[in-house]
Amino acid sequence: MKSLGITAKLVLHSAWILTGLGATVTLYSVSQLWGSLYREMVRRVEAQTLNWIEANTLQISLSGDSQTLDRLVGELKRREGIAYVVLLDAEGRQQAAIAVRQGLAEEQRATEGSDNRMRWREMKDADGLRYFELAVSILASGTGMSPDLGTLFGAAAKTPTWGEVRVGVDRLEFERGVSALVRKNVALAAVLIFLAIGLSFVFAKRMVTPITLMGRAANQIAAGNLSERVQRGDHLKDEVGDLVRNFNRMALRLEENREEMNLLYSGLEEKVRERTKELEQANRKLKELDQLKSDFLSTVSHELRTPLTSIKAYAEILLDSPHLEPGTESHFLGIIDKETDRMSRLISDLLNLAKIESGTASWMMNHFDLREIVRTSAAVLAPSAAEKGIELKVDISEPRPVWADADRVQEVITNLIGNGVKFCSHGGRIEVKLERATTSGPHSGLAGDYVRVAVTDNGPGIQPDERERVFEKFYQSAKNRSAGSGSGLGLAISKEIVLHHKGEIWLDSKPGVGSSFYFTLPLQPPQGAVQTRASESAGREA
Amino acid sequence: MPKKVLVCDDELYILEAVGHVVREEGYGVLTAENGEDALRLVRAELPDLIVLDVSMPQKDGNAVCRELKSDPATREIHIIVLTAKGQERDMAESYKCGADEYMTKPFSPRALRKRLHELLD
Repeated sequence: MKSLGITAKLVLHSAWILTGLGATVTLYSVSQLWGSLYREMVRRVEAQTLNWIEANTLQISLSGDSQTLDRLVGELKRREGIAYVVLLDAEGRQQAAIAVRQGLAEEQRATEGSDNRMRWREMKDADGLRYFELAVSILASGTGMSPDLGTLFGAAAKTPTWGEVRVGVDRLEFERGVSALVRKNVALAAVLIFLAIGLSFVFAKRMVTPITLMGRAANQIAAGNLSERVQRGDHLKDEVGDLVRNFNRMALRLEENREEMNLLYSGLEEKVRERTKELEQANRKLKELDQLKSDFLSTVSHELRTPLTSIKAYAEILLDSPHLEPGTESHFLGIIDKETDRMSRLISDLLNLAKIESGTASWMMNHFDLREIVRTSAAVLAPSAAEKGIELKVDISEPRPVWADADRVQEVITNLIGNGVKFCSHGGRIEVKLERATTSGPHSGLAGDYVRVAVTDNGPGIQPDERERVFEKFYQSAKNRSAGSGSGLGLAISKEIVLHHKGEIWLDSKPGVGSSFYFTLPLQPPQGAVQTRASESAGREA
Repeated sequence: MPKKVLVCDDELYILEAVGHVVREEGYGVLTAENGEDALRLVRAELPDLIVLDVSMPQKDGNAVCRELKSDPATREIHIIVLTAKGQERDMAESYKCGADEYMTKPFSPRALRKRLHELLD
């Protein structure tokens, strides 16, 4: 059940109070009014009667004839507010009367009037109509004494009374006059009460409106509309004004907090999106790596099967064919021998590369004379070059030592010269140059002190689209495969070794003219590298 | 007139070994080192059987197989695929291209001899 609103309650309460107060005041004023009107009526009737007695005592006591008395009584009767008049003699016999009602009887005992000659009582006639009746004794004529003097002189001086006059006042008429006034009073009071209730409604409404609006605003805020404010009553300098202002301040804080939260939330969302993107990228990369790994494994398997196939095939042929020509037999055995070497080279290259790539390879970093390494490598390959009639020339213009792993650098140089020997035809020419460089190379082009090793041949050259691919694992040009000797890993290993030294490796080539392979090594170790030297050496020994 | 067998492989030692086995069994031998050469040679010589590697530079074995099997002139030539690719899906791929036999490397010359006779005699 919905209870009454504050406005209704306030108005109802003030209506109760106002009506109660108004009724009390009205009742009181009505009783006061009745009293004063009654007193005024008493005074008027007494004065009129006394005035009549005074004027007519002589005539009444002297003439005594009924005609005169009737005339005098009639005269009194005509005066204002008098309903009937009765004139009685000393013995109580009615001498004259006018407009006396039938069955008039005393209803309430007499009370004294303004002096002891007068008394008032209430009368009721046969019809039940009520009257106030004033009885005044009339003194005998000629004495001229006041009644007080009469008592002073005792019985002898006792003034004889002629009789008395009774004057009736219509109570109903009197009360009609009173009630007319009372009605006016009550009407005025009622008008005032209604006015007061109306005003109290206006004031209550004015006071309650901000509270009602606040209720609605609170509802809106609860529904999520935090920009809602109470527009009325914030200028009031009372509790309601305080309430409205505090309410609006609270709403503002809530709105600000939500905005802050939204900002934080959107920032968070952005972060989550970014993180997700990063994770997706990482995942993609992992998948790519996984694919690369699986491709690599299948390539390795293929590469290992190739020499194994030759070994198996020739071994079985030799077993099954006891009557081969001696030349063929030793040729086949030679192939088995070569393919076994190729397979073992492949396995050691694979292990070597795997170690370097996984970072588990140990490096014997040191300052050493690169000239020695170049000369040694050239010397190692000189016989096979000479066998093919290839001229091998070494040109050194940089004497300073480099910071590197000597064995691995030698591996790189040997590999490059070996490739030259492999691809140059008879009468070819290979030149190994050791010179100074001021940048790391064409890829990252870092400035610094470098040495550059260049191995140039006048072999068949490399097609432009193969220049990067030759450094990939197992990438072999058609020609190389036909040569059937390489592991397909030499340049891949060389690249890993050079990159580990923070150098670069690249090539220039003109198909039909020849190729130049270059690599650079820094002269100085990178910051902090010298300190790790001891542990690296220890690792390698272990 | 002896039946002719074309051997195609980019590994020269394997080419030589297979050629030796074929010759020992009494068939004539043709050799090719890549797919393009093989196709040319097949159309010129119309051999009775081909021993074909899959991983080769220029046109691979499966492509050669497909071309020969879709050409009415060469459709009847038996093809033995001899490859280092040993996974099931590789074998399925080769059979789909029309190979008659599938042998993986390392292979047994004894088994190859048997297959040659099964297909040619």
